[in-house]
Amino acid sequence: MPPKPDSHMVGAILTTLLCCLPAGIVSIVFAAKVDSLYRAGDYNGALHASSSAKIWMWISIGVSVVFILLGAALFFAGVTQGTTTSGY
Amino acid sequence: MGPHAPAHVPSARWSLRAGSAWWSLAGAAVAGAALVARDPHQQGSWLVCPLYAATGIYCPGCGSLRGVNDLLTGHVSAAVGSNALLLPALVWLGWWWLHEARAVVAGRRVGPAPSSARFCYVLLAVIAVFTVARNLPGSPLAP
Repeated sequence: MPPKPDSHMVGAILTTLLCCLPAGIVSIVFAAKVDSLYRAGDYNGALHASSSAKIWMWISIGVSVVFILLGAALFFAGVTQGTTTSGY
Repeated sequence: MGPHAPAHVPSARWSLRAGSAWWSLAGAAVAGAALVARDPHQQGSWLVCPLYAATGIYCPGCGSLRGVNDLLTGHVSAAVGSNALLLPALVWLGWWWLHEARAVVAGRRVGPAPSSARFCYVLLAVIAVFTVARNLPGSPLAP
């Protein structure tokens, strides 16, 4: 059997840690499936889970960018003048 | 990728390859320097978090920029207080980076990041418990 497909865990962990995204969580679930399917001998299944993990990693990165832009918009709109704001 | 796709050897496209090992190190160094130069403990110094501003909820990532600043200025216990998951995550990333960089130096093919199914599920459980725990009133895990 070919080597185990990439589970894209680094991207998943980075986006989950830095931007707290549900999409990062989905990516970690697919990363787990890559491993368990590969161990079960289902190479095509593992490959499929790997591409799903990749898609969710990119969704996570995309939502992170939107999230940061939203933060920038709030920042420049002067929300920081309030008392209930916080940085990342 | 459907069942008709050829069972080719997967590429290491999204893993570190020679060159990108050093680029990722340079990127981390730049990010670290920026977080020391502009202290994220200052409110609004690095924008605002829309989730926290809107709901007051601490997500599992909250405090990670402050934590990186704490670590780089030598305040390890403050870093744990900012985000208890930050240090283990950085250790994991550093271990992965060394693993990949060693393969690059040895001229071996670089494989995907190691991640067993058990590790992934334990990680998900830890993130879930951490998120709930840090949002409890008076929680020491709050950033």
